[in-house]
Parts: sequence; C-alpha cells; structure tokens
Amino acid sequence: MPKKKISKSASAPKDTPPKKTKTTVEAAAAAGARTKDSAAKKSPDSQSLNLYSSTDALQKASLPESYYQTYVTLLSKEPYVLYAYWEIAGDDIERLREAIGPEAEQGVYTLRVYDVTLVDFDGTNANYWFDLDELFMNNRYIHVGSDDATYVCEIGMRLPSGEFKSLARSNYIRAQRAGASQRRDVIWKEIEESNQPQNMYVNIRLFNRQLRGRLKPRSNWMMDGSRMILRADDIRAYYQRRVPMMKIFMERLSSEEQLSLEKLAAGQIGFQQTPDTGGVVSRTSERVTFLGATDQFFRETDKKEFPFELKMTLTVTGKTEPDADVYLGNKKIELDDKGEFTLTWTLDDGVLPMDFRAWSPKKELGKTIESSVIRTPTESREL
Amino acid sequence: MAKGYLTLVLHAHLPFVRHLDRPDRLEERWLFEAITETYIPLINMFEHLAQERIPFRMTMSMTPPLVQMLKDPLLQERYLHHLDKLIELSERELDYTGSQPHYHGLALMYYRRFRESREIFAERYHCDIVQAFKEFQEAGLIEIITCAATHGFLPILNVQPRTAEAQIHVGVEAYAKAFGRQPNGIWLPECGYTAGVDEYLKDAGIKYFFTDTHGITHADPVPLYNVYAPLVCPSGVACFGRDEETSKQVWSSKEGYPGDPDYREYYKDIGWERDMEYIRPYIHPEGIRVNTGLKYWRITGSSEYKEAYRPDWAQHKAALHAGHFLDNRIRQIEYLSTVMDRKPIVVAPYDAELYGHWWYEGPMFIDFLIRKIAFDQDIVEMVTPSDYLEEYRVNQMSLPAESTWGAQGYNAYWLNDTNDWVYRHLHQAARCMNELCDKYGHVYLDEEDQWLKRALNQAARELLLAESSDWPFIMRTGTMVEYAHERVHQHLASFMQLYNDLMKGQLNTALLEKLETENNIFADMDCGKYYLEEHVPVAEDIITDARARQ
Repeated sequence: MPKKKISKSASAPKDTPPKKTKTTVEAAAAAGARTKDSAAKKSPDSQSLNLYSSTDALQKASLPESYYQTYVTLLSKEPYVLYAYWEIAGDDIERLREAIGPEAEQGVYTLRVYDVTLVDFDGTNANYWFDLDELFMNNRYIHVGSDDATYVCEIGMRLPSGEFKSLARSNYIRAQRAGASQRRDVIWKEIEESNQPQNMYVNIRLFNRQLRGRLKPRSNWMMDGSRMILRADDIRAYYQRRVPMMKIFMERLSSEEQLSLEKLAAGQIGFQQTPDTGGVVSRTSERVTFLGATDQFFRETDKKEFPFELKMTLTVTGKTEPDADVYLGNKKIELDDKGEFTLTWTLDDGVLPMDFRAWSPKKELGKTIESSVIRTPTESREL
Repeated sequence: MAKGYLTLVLHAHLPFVRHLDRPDRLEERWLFEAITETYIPLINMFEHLAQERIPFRMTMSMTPPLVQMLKDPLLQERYLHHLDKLIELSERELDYTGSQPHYHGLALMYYRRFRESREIFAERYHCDIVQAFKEFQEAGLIEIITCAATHGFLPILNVQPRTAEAQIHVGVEAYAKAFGRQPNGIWLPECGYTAGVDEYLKDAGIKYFFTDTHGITHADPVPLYNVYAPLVCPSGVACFGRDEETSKQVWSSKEGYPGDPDYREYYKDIGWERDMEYIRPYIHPEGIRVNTGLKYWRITGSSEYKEAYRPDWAQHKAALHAGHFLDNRIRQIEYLSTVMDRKPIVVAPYDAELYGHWWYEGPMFIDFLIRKIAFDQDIVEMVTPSDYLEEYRVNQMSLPAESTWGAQGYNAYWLNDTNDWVYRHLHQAARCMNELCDKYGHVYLDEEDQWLKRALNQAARELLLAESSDWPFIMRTGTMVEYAHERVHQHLASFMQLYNDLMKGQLNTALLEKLETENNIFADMDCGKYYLEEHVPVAEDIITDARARQ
C-alpha cells in the first residue's frame, strides 16, 4: 500500500522558527520544574518502612499539574474521534535539544498520529500518519478518517529536514467500529466446561461450494455435514486480517508446512471431528483484536508455553506391476518404469487417511490397502 | 411449550457515598431514597410472588459499592433514622391533609408504606436487605450478577490493564463474600465493552456479560440472529445484547410508559411545597429543601399544573402497560421463532432505580408482567442468561463491537471536555499502584508486615473509589458537579499521599487509620493483591468462609 503522509500543520517556511509552539511546551515544562518538590515523585527505594504516628491531615486535596514525566496516552472517544493527553518533562526537552544540536532551534514540537491498522508497527511502517503541531495544551481531541482502525501516536520534534525525533509513544487504541462488520462467517463455539479447551468449528456445508470451485474435480472429498475444527491460530489469523474464514483456512491448507491442496485432495483427507486437538484454547482475543498492534498493547499473559515441536515427514514407497493403476483416494499416482512410486508428506496435526487402491493392468484384480496417520498434540499443561 | 424467552435485567447501582464525619450529606439520601422506593418494593414484590408460588426468573446486578453500603452498619443506622423521620412526617401529613380527602388518602398510603418498609428492613431482615436478595437467589427466583469493583469505566481504564483487571477481580471477590457463591455473570459498568475485557472476565470465572445493541449488531463477524441469541467471544465468555425495542418502551420519556399522565409525578414533592417551618425537621438541617419522597400529584401533562395522584388509575395503567409490553414480546417472539433454529431470547436491561424511584409504579408494572407471563399465555417464558446458556451449549462465535449504553453508544459521555482531565490522573495513579505492588507485593505472601499490607490495601481502595464512572458521569450531567470533583480529588490525593509515604518508606499510620475508617469499602478484603502481576485468584475458601459465616 502506498504510504500517505498527511500533515495537518500549515506548511511553514523552513527558516521560520516555530517560537510559539516551542515556547508553550517548554514553558509548561519549566513551570512544572519550579514546583517539582511538592508533587508526586518517586523517592529512593526503601524496602523497610519507618512507622511513625502523625496527626498530619491531608492538605486540601489538589492534583498535581505535572508528573514530571514524558508520556502520551491515546483514548478513543467515538468511531472517528480520539483523545490524547501528554506531558513532556523539562529534562527530556534539554536532552533532546542537546542531542539534536543547533537544528533544534528550528524544530517543531508535534504530535504524530499513525494509523497502524493491520500492521505490526515498528515505527516506520504505518499505513499513514499525520502531524498535529499545535501543542498549546497538554491534551486534545483528534478527528481521524477511519473507524475500526488502530492508532498510535508519538510526541516529539520535527526538524526542518523532515526528520522526526520521538520523545514518547502512546498506547495503541482502536477507534470503534461505526457500522456492521463486512464478514459473514458463521463460526460456532461450544460453551466451555471448567478450563477445558472449547470446540470451535465451521460447518463445512457452508463452504462446500467454494471448495468445489477450487478443488476440481474432487467433488466429494469432504463429508457433508461434518465440521471443520478451527484452531487458535485460525482465529488469531482471522482477527489479524479482514478476510473471510474460508481464505484463512485455505491458506492454512496450502502453506508450506501443510499438505498441499493437491495432496489433500488426492489423499481424501478428512477433518478431525473430535475436539481433542483442534479445540481453540483461551486467550485468543487479546492477541487478535488489536490487529497487529497487540504485542505492544497487551502485557504478556500468564499462559505458559513449553517449546516442543516435531517436524515429521512421511514417505510412502510402493511397488506393483509397471502398467498397473494405483490411486490414492481418487488421484492417480504416476509409477516409474519399474512400477515403483514414492510419495512424501509433511505431517500436520490431525488425521491423514491414506487409502491406496491398485488395479492390475486389465482391471482383473484389485487390491486396497487402507491406512491412516494420526498426530495429536496437546496444549502446554502444568504437571 | 414456550417459543422464546424474556430476560429482565435490573442493574442496581449507586456510587459509594458514606460520609463518616457528617450525617447530613445530601448524597447519602441517594441511597436512602433507593432503599425506600426501589429495593424494598422489589423485596416486597418478590416475597408476594414467592408466597403465591408464581414462577418467575429475573436477573439483577447488585454492584459492589451498593452491596457494601447496604451492609454497612453506620449507613444502616442512618437509614433507619431517615425512615423514622419519614414515618413521623407522614403521620403529621395525616393531620395536615385531614380536610382534603384525596390528599389524606395519599398521606395514608405513604404512612402505611413507610411502616411496612420499616417492618421489612428492620424486623424481617435486621437491616441487611442484601440478605433478602441472597435468599431470593437461593430460592431460584432471581439470579444476581456482579459488576466491576466501583463501577469503573473499563473502556478507558483499560489503558492500564492491571487496573481494569483489578476492577473485575475485586468485584468478583466482593460478590463471593456477600452471596456465598461465584457470580456467573457481570454487568459491565455503563455497558462499556472493549476488546480484552472478556479475557479478564474469563480469568475471573465469569460466564457472560451484556452489551448494548450495537455491541452485538456491529460484532465481527456479523451475528446470525441479531441480538436474539448470545454471541461467544473468542475467549469463551458469552455476550447478550440489549433489545432496543424493549428498552425504548420503558426508557423513552416520549414513547415510554413512565411518562403516562396517570402515573405519579416525580418532580413535585412536599419538600418543596410545604411551609419552611413545617417541613424544616424533614429536610436538610441547613434549610436546604430536598425531596422527601411524599409526592401527591400525577404527571397530568407537560405544564406546571398537576392534579392529585389517583393510585387506582395508576394501578390500572400499570396493568395495561404490562399487558401491552407482553403482547409486543409475544408478537416479537412468535416472529423470531419462525426464523431462528433456536428459541430467541429478548434481553431487557434497565437501571433498577428506574423502577420505584423514578417510575413509582415500576415495581407494580413488573409484578403485573410476571403474573401475566405466568397465567395469560404460553409463548414467552422468563429466563436468566445462565438458564439460556445451559440450554444452548453451542453459540455463534464473534467479537462484540466496542460500545456503551451512553448517548451515541460510545465513550463520549465519559470522555468529553467536562471530565477528560480525570483520566490523566487516574492512569497515573494506576501506574503508581502497579509500582507499589511491584515493590511491596511480597506482603501478600508473608504475613509479617501488617501495616504495609494495610497501606497497600487502602491505596487500592482509594484508587478504586476515584475510578468510579459516576464521577465523570455527574460532571457531564452538570448537577452536583462539585461533589464529583471533590470525590475524585480527595481519593486521588489520599492515594498519592499513601504512595509517597510508602515509596519514602515512611508510613503515616494515623492517616492510614483515618482513611481506613472513612473509606471502608471492601474493608475485609486484600484489594491490593489484585494489582500484582500474578495475582491470586478468588479462592474457593473465600466462598466457603462466606457460607460458613452466613
């Protein structure tokens, strides 16, 4: 997607020093510094408490004007309106000016708002951003162009060269959705019993038409009425993008580590219908809902993962008469001159049924070898 | 066999208003009026229905601050005094209205009601009406759900996830202590849902919550059955949506029932009508006129002119309106049941205080409705969300949209130029609370330093009290704004004082004890532990303890 850069600030000539903005921010910071001692501030660490009895009553309650920290926080008011509040500590201003050098004189304090919808934001890859230069106050409402989008902002200084020196980055916030979702997938989920994984699935019947279109000519390779069990990864992928579940699922099938569609079709692969492996576990939405910005937004949860992976490759070799017909499911397998064949799969979780059928060249004799491979992982569990 | 379900939800909430130093604070009257006009009439109604063995199921959220106030001995004592004054006033009114038959009858009605309230409050439940609701729950008549600890507005508090999470967990523990069981459901303060909150609910063992209509209709993916069946979040917690049509019939000042000319007028009260000398002992000691609760007029029309209230007319209207309400639900459910593969559920949530306090005939309306549902038809049945989830184990998965039940449906009522200044300080205090817990959280593991633990708990209480959504709400409404400012300032200042003391390692025990006595919400709980990175979940033993004590 082409990056749009929108600056809401008036395009000031390069050589005009943005006195007003700078003065406001810095004056505020300086004013804060004068009353520094009276306000909340971290004190040196001390693990032991010195208990004393005092009748000091609370002074008339008043809230500090400044917390002597540099921060910016972003909130969502309604679908197209955000609210940001911020503060820049005097020390940080000094540090910034020192780091920049003389160019800082011409810099502009600015609030940069990024649209990071569906992006794993690294500071440079926002969908677009715009600057708000008037930092006269320590807060403001921000009108944005899209609802249901993820935003983050930074306060810092924009230099005449266009470079932006960030002082603080806000939390990620999603502007609420103003209307109905575009997605119409019907995903079912069972109510969970205690903390057991819940079964989450899509009725395959709803997908059959789409599948048939893509998987010619295998019309009947999935059972009608069966369920396609979804995994936590599917749901995560679903909420990290804005595509139908079918697309997510097809991509899962065709990803490198999965069986290719061709093989799937050939092997008459069914879908597991028991919830033991594919059930979606808890703690999905926290990672999925903020569309790419989740890792920064949410603290790590207490879910413990134990790294244990298996890459399994299954090789099937077979031998028959060179002119015989061999089928895996309804796909014909090519034999070499000696009547031998080799097939290789990367095994995924679930059941892989492999029913081989072979006919003698004149179709006088036939033989079937039925087999299946099952791979069943569990979630990490505490012992 | 019923074709569909109706879920009536009454959300009972008041902010924590307890002023140890002054018994004459007007704000405590919020609680007293709600007890007399809403909670006791509801108890009375439930009792009668139970005695007559009329089947019904209702859902009530009783928020932790309300439960804490209802269980507070000081407030109980003050309420009893308030009620005695009301009885005294109504006795005087019997004389005062002696020559006016209409008004005399009304004075008698109030006199009897107040006497009955006293009997219910003091004699039957020994001043603890939470016990009454608990008994109704245990008898299977109502399902009580919980709420966030101090009704904190989660969509904005969630910028500091630990503080939002603590709101939930403290709310759940407070419920467990009061009702001796784990809550199945929760009323999210202001119906405010934001993604991620359902994860906290799941951790706290909550099975369902409610959102406003568009929380469901704007969910992703689109719900198959609109608001007439619950959705299940990816986290596994179910979500029920408010039915707009049902709500409007009761809420709306124009189309709604409570605006009927025959119903009692709320805004004309003898507190404002009688001579000052006569009424002085029953209003604020400084001579500030207040509503007494004795109101003799009906709505009549939109002008200032009001006619005398006629209880029989009002009763007739309440019956008609209950019939109309039920008719509409029957039609709605009959239609919905033809297009759904399951029984539709119509969720109708209201502020509990609407019934009785604002709409005097509200409890009577519910009473008629319950009786009509039981005897006049077999299309609609009353259930609670737990009942529904018990029947339907498989539901559509979708992520509800972020929403509230405020004006415009989003955060605007709690985030605008009248109250936005609050959040900078709340978020800062939340960060400080995390810091305190990171530094001193070990006190929850060893029992050695009781002072430190008490200080952490009180800091958490002050923070929780400052976070109540009522303060920004009041600032936005424009009435009693000073009070809201005062409360936010005081709790945050107390919090910061404790924070500074603790960080300096110099605890002012006198101040701590003073705060503990004044702001004694959740006095028997370790509130601070819920701000730990790895907090201790509500243990079964709390519930067992609570059961043993009760």
